[in-house]
Amino acid sequence: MIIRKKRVSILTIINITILISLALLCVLPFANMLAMSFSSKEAIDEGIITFFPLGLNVDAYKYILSKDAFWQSLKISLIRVAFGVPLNVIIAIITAYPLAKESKKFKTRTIYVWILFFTLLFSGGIIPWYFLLHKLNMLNNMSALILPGAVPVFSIIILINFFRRIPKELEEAAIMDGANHWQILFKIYVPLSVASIATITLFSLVWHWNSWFDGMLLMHDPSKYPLQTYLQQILIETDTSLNQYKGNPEFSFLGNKSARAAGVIISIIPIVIAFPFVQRHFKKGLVLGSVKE
Amino acid sequence: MHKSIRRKNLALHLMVLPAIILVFIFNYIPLFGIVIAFQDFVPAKGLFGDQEWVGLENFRFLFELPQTKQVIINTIVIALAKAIVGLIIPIIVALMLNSLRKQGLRSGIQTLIYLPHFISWVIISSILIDILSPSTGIINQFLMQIGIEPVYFLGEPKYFRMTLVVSDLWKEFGYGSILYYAAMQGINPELYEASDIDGANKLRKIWHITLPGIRMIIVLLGLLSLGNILNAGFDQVFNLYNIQVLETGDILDTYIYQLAFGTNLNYSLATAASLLKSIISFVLISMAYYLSYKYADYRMF
Amino acid sequence: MKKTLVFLLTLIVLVALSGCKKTETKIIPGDNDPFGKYDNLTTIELVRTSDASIESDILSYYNDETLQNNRFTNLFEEELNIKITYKFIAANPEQYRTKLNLAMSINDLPDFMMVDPQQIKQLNAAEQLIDLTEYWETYASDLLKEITTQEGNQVLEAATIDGKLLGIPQMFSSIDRAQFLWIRTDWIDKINEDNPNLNLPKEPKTIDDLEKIARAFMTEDPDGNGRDDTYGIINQGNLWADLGGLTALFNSYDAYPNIWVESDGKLEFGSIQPEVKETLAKLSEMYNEGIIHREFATQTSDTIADKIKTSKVGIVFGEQWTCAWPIQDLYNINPNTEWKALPLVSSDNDKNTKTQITMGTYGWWAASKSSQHPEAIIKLMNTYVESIWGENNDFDKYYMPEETGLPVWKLSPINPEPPTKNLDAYLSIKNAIENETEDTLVGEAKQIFDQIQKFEAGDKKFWSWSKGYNPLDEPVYESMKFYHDNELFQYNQYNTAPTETMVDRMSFLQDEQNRVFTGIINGTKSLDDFDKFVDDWNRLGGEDITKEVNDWYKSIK
Repeated sequence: MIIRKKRVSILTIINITILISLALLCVLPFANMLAMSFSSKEAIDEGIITFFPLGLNVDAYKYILSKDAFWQSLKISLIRVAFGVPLNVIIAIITAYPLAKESKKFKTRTIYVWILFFTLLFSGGIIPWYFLLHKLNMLNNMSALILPGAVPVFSIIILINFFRRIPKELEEAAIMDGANHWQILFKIYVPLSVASIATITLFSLVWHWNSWFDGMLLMHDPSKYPLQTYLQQILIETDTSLNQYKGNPEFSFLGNKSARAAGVIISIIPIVIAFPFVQRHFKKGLVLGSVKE
Repeated sequence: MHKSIRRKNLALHLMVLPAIILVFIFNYIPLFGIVIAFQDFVPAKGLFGDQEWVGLENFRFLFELPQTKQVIINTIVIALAKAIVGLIIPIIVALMLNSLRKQGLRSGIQTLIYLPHFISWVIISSILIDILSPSTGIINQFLMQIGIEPVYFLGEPKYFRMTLVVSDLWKEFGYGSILYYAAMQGINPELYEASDIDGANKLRKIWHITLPGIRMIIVLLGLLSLGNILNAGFDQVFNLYNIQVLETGDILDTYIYQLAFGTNLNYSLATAASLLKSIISFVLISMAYYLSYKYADYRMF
Repeated sequence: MKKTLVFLLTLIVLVALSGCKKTETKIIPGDNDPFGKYDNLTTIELVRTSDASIESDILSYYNDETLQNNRFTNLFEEELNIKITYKFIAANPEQYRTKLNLAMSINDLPDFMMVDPQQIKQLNAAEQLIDLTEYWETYASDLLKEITTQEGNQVLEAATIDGKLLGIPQMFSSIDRAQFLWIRTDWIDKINEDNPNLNLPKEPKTIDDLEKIARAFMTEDPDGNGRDDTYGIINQGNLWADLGGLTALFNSYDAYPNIWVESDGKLEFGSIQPEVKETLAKLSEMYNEGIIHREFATQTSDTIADKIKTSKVGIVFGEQWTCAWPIQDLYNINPNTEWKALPLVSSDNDKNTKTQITMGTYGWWAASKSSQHPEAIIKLMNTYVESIWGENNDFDKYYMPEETGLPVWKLSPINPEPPTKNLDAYLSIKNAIENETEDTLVGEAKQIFDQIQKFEAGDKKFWSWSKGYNPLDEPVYESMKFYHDNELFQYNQYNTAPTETMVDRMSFLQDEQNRVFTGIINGTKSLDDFDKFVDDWNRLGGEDITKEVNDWYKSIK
């Protein structure tokens, strides 16, 4: 093989420039928010903040962190994630395993798969769903945030595809050793599927953390709003009942861009911190799971 | 032999049971509620009360309302624009990433461009509202520097759709590029080496090797996004729109929401519209899956 | 085996869902005493709406009180042995409607709820309400009856179906819903000083006058900070809002959107009349010029309040309470600000403009079937009005404490008030000052007079009282008196329960109307779209509604 000293071609330079610009484009709006969150109201009103704070202060953060409603909604979101994510993952695992079996080994498999898959194709809409939740007395109750979404059909499908790739010999050997299905699932399949499981865990985490609509529709008490619903009310709509909490009602969020920016920054911190670590597993898992070679 | 298999399979049935029960309760039972679309639903009478059956009246009235047609047009235009743009740009970005030599740089860029996908539309809408403000937003500050009048992106119907599409692209292009990029890794390197010998330059390689190599994925994702044509993005539109841009920005999902929970509080109409959407979506998505099964050899399960 | 399982499961779930019907509750006979105290602690369930000022102003000051537990809940418990619980507290009127509607759908009603005649009609058809006719006769105190019927019987008739009174109106003043032009005159002075050739009128009488002032406010930097950030006329997304609405400008052109007006013996709907088109043309011009701000559709009452407080606004349309909120907040930080509340300007010099108003109720309190003590709501109202306007009232504690000037009356779930009390109070005060008989003032008039004295003595936070009621300070009630003396109130001529088609179609018609009007104003629709709107309006139910309305109108003449 000829080793040539390569000139860096024009194309490469353009390539790198564009890519770096795109990457920056994804980051700059957050940088703008970061700057606004540390700036004074006057500077913001003048419209001169770009990426550096002016009139440096932490009032906006003090304001938000002093709001009981904020902490309450954070708590709700954490509870939701603590219960909802494991539920999603466990259900995905135990449901994907049987459905990964071939039809001759497990006859009703196809029916079950279609029962689940059909829910992706057709739905009755929000109103019947809403009425059902009321009849079940789930409105204004944490269960309304966790149970309806408990079955992650798309994740199940990803796992099914992944489980199918696991060599059947492993299962056959285990059966000969007298193992039952539970043992096969948790002692063989699960350890081999860490990448996929990490992926669907991430999906579930992101979904639960970012959900705002169900909180808005199903929770009557502002004290039961998850974080994103609280943020939606504060940043975009105004739910004045949030003021029922003792806080410092000096200035309102709407007119206070600094507070809004601080709200944005605070709520994306968990994602920004967790993300670089998680994305490695996630890249692998997503690809392997959804595309059959 | 049969008995022990059946006993063993009992475990399998039990494993599937929780999911089936949950799905039955939360996805199938609500299907009964579709009947509201054929009634003149008066809330005061209660859910199981003596509601009047009106056949297709709700559907007829739905199409008498001037907004309905506009909403359907908006939905399709916006979804189509997003689908096209959401197909092309991530492919290009994946190609660019693929051409990068330095692994570190690529990883770094990828991390950054994936990020917006994971942030909720609530947050991003709040950011957009601020940076697109005609009076104080940085985008308009920039435009004014170069001598252009401030543009009211979120307030004028003629700019609203574009704003939706571009901001959605910004949010999703990075994540969208993953699949294409990963698929490109699956292409046999020998093909590239062979083309080197033939003296192909970069662009030719892309055209003749890379793109055909990921043809299946492109077809697949393209079909799937077409199947989704009636979902123009509720989370995004709901948080960004206002009365001034209803003309071009109101989509089916926000329209249905307003019918049910807005000023009209008309559950019959909302359910009728929702049913219509579900039926058409069902047809489209089924077609999409079927076509991808046939032409992209794609099997879901 | 599997099939049976599935079938059984379905059966179980369906039975569970349909089986939960509420058992009918028995009504417990009362004591026939309007103020009678219950023997045992009687709990009733209500619903209510909150608003921003309750938390930010009232509860932040009186921070040992909450909406669930305050001076009124204590009053009702002590005097009547009634304990109040809330099924929900909505953040704003829209949320209240949504939540109540959902509650209705699932037969989960509170004991008492405030509803509108449309909801009364539906609930009655579904047999969900208790007939309150006898209860009203027996239990309503004389004062309550007087207050309720002061402006006529329509408020009771609107809630009467087949001779049954199904809702007790929560009275307020219809004339207090009049709109005024609130204008910042210290800015006018400043601008006239800096630019004598502009010569802005201090009391605009015509649209032209108003535009002149608005333009100056926009361009002459009246807040003196060197930036282009002051509004011409500020308004909000809701075109018909009580603060920052544009109804007033329509009235200036003799247009009366959203109400029914008489013309040639028939009633017509104001929104489809040619005068509205004329107004829209003008508003569209104003938008193009920037007098109406580009981003108006995203403004709300709260953002307007914020802009007023931060000295960005000099013109806004509002009701008589605008000086109390939000302008008082501005005065607290800037005592040099001066405002006038003027009668509405007119499109030409020759006539006075009428301000449009509707029947004086917030809503009607209805009793659901589940209520065991239907008379309780009436007793609450009796006690409420007695405690504020009765013989042994404690106006200070239950309406507005002198010390703070805060509207603590909002803490009560029910707040009926005498319809003309404010104007009456003003006239008493004016009379007293003219005849130097201030010491004979009693009740609310006296209270208000004392507040004015405090302001004169230097207490800034009572400025809004002076601006409201001090005859020597060009108060808003002088303008109210002007309306009253010159019969400039344009009442909605249709003021009873909604018709069949109204119930079905009105909300869609209103939606379409607001969309089209907003579009014409901001230029995304053309004036011709107004004509198309009128056609659509008639076609989609408006014609039927007009017929039904006129049938009613003929029947009462």
